[in-house]
Parts: sequence; structure tokens; C-alpha cells
Amino acid sequence: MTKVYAAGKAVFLWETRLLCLAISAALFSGILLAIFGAVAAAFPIIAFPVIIFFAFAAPKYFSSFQCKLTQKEITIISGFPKVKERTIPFYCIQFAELSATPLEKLLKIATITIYLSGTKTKLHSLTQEDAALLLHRLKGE
Amino acid sequence: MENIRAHPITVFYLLLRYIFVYLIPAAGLIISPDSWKQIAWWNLTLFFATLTVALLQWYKIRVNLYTNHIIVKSGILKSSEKIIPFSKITSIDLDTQLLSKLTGAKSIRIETNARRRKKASLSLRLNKSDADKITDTILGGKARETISQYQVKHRRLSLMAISGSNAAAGFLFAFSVFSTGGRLLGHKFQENLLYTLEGAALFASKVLPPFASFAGVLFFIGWAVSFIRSFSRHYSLTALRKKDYLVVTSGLITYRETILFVKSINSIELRQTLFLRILKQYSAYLQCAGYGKQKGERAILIPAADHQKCLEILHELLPEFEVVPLQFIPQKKAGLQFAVKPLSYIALIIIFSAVLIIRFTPYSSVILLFSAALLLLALWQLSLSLISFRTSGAGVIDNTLSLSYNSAFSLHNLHIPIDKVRQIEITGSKGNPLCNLTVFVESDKKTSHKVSGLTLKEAKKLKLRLRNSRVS
Repeated sequence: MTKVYAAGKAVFLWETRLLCLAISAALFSGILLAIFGAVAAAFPIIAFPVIIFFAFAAPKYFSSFQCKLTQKEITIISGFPKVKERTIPFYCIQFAELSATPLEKLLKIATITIYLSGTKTKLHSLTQEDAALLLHRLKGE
Repeated sequence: MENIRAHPITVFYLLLRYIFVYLIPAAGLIISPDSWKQIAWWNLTLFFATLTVALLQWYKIRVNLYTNHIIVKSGILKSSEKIIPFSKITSIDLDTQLLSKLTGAKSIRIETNARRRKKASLSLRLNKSDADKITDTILGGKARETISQYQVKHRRLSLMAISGSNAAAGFLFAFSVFSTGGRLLGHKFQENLLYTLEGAALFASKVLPPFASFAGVLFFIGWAVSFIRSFSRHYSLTALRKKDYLVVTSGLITYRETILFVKSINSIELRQTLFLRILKQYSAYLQCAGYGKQKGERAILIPAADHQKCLEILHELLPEFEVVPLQFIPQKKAGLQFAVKPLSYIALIIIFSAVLIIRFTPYSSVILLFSAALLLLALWQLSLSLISFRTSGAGVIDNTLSLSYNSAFSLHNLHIPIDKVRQIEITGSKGNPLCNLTVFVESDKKTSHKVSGLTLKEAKKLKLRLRNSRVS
């Protein structure tokens, strides 16, 4: 049986993160402008196109994120515009880490980091129930 | 399920992480040296802030021990939960440093094959009894009786420390101790030490040029520090073979105990430096995730023994590992391939030093000294390469692959169980019958091993044998 986990709240999470970033960048630009004058205008000119780019790309990236769980392996589909599909057999997983930032806790989501031999991969913004279920499988129970 | 708390000494180590924070206000002293009172207040405030954070971090660490896995919860704002199944654990490292000994704590490092270069999969400071409880739970029902035992003699350990001590690493360590010690004990200490160094250099300068004598004294100090570190770390090295695992204990100031699960040992290696080669001695190393990973530590099992003795000890401790003879060795025409690299280094050193002496004639004695030192290293490498030409090769018997090759300053002879081989690569140029065979293995340190000078036919034959062994 295949169970599919889609990172539903991930887009909202990233939009919130980008909003926080944009607000802090605006505040920082204001401080720089007040101290250094016109020269500091270079900072918002560079920073804001970068933020706008991420505001467009990050939700696209995370909306394409999908995680499939079968009896023997996990398949992770991610990436924008280039789509990457990774299949990880359970026996390759060395250990896992469940983490949640305050914002993720507020949205009742969590991130699982899977450590493999020589590499690690992240399963973003799973709901807490899905994360608990997945972890239960990873414990080897 | 058992609930375990981290030892309060953790707070001290967490505080050390924030030490750089105190440097920010201290930097203000450079701008206005008179404002030291303000800076002291700032530092005091910062100290209490970081202490609060460290205390909260320590309070949040919770270890839950289950029958087949361990969960460690941590984090103040960003919470995290690490889950490690016991079946994936490759080694457990328990060490008691001086501070831990005084406070009844023990450091436990649990390793998996996650291949994290410096960080352990799990690292905690716990009460001694809690650390032992975790170890006991992980070992579970595994038989504890000792099957065989090997203890290193101090003379053998000295040989290993003499041959493997790196003067540069020792000098860097001594320099950091000197600068930190100077800061703690005052400039008088640094001045005294410099005076002693100068005195030693002056004494040596009666027979050597001044710069050479000073460099020589520094080199000797570096080497001596490295020797003492290596000797004290591996002092009284003992290996105990239990049914499914190996317990390696060592240490003079810091006592260390490492439990290595035999099924997780990726390879055994017989290693020789030029010094050990002259004495006809070998060192045996173990490649197992987590073993020899800490700073200054080596994954050593036998520091120095003759070939026969080495094989006997290995057979007693690890009978599962076969020592396979080489079947494919480099052809005579490959001799030049082995010598060309060190010979080109020698040529480059001579040319560069000649150019530098012509350009900077007043410094010719210093340039000559450096060139001589570099030339010595290149000659060292040349002799190792020539020996390696006679000893290199590869072989496969049953379930073990054997590889012999040389790296910069030592000769390696690896014996790898076939199921630990990840990839084989044959590289060569068109029209050249000789090729290089690179074997990639499971390891958290060196993952690739290259044997040069084999013929393409031999390399392909070896690959086929390996495939057949795997299938059977």
C-alpha cells in the first residue's frame, strides 16, 4: 500500500518566512539609509529582487514536493523547474531527526531529516500526525 | 522506556560555544581603552544571558531509552527529536575526561554509518551510571565473556608514536596551547618560554646556521608534543574480543573505551611508514564508523608488530577477517609510473630553489634550508613509491578483497569484506595497457583506495572475480 504525503502547509510556511525576511530587509534598509545616506540604497536595490525571486520560486518548489511511503522505501519528488525523484530503501536509513521551528509548531507541522550513508535528505512540512507515523516506521518497530 | 537527563556538566560545554560573544564588547577596548568598566558590565550581562540559554538548553535535553531504539529530545525554540535504532549503531565511544572524572560524568558518542565527518550521530554527557545503562541496553543480550585479549606493550606504542608523530600538527597544538596559556597566565609566561626557546636555539647555533637551528628546535618541539599526545592517548591500549563486538580501551589522562560491533567493521589495514618498514614492523588499523574519529585519535589496533605476529593477533581478535595474498601485481613497465610523481617533485624543487636563489641572493641560506627540507620529503616519497612498486597489488579470495598501495607517507595493505565494497572504477588512457584500479568502500574516513600499474586485463579479471564472489 502506498501512502502519499504532500507538503500542504509548506507553501504558506515559506510565504510567511519570506514576509518576515522582507520586513526585516526593509527595516535594515531604513537603518542603513538613515546612517549612510544615498550610498546605502544599493542594499534594497540588490536585496529586494532576490526576495521577489524567492517569493516566486520557493512556493513553486514546495508545492511540487511530494513524499510517497511504501512497505520498503520512501520516494521523494521535489524540485522546480528541474524535478528530482529520490527513492530511499528503509535499510539505507541510519537515523532520523524530527524538528520543528516555532512557526512550524504554530502551523502544526514538522520536518524530518533522514541521515543516510554519506548524505542526508529532508522531508519538509509534514503534518505532525504524518511525521509521527513516518517516524514510527523509521524506528524499526 | 527509561527517562534519562543530561549531566549538569553539559552546561559548561554549552557555555563554551558562546565564548566568542564576550569578544565583541572586548573589541571595544581597542577603540577606547579607558572604557574597561563599561565593557566588564557588558560582559557580565552577556555571561548571565548565555548562562540562561545554556541552562535552558541543558534542561530541554531528554533521553528516552527503549528496547530497540533511543530518542533524544532537545532545543528551546526549535525543538528536535533524534531517533537512532540500535540495529544501525556501529560503535559506542565512552570517555572520561579530567573534568568529567571530578564531576562523575561520562561522555558517550554513538555512531552510525551516516558518515558525518566530524560530528557523531549522537553525543551526550551523562551520569556515569546512565551512560553505562545506555551501553548495556544497546548491547542487550549479547554475550559478555571475553574470548581473546591483546594488550600493547609500551615499547611497541613508543615505536608507533615515534613513526607517526607529525611535527607540524604538534607544533600547531603547542602554539595554540602557548597562546592560550599566555593569555591565561600572563605575558611573563610567554616571555619566559620564548627566552628558553631562544636559549636552546643559541646553543644549537654554535654548530648550525642560526635560522636552521631555530627551525630545528621548533621542529623538535612540534614532534615531541605530537609524540607525547599520541603516546598518552593510546597508553595501555587493550583490545578485548567478546562474541559480537570488540572493546578497545586506552588513555593516560583521558580514559577511553570504544565498543565496535564486528559486523560494522568495514576493513582491516596493515600500515607501514618508512621508519616501520626499516624496522620490519607493521601497524594494524580498523576502519569502523566512529573509531579514530576524534581529534588526535587513531583507528589503531596493533601499534607495531612484525608481520607474523600482526596476523596472529588479528586472527585471534577478528577471525572473521581473512588476510588475502595479492594475486595481481604491477608489471615491470609500470615502474616509471610509480617514480614519475616524486621525481617531478624533486625536479620542481631544484628548479624553483635555483630561481629563488638567483632572484633573492641575500636570503640564499634560508631558501637552501627550505629546499633541503622539501627535497628530503620528496626523497622520502620517492623511496616509498619505489617500495610500493614491489608491494602494490590486489587480490580476491572467497569474500575478501585485498588491496596494497602507497599514499604520501605510508604503505597500506587493506583487507575488505566484499559486501563493504561500494564501487569499482578502472581508469586509463587509450593505447596504454596499464590502468589504475580505484575501489570505493563504506567508511567515514577515506572511502577510495587506488592501486596503480595493473594491466587492463588483470583489472577486468579482478572485477569479474569480485562479481562472482558477490553472486556466490
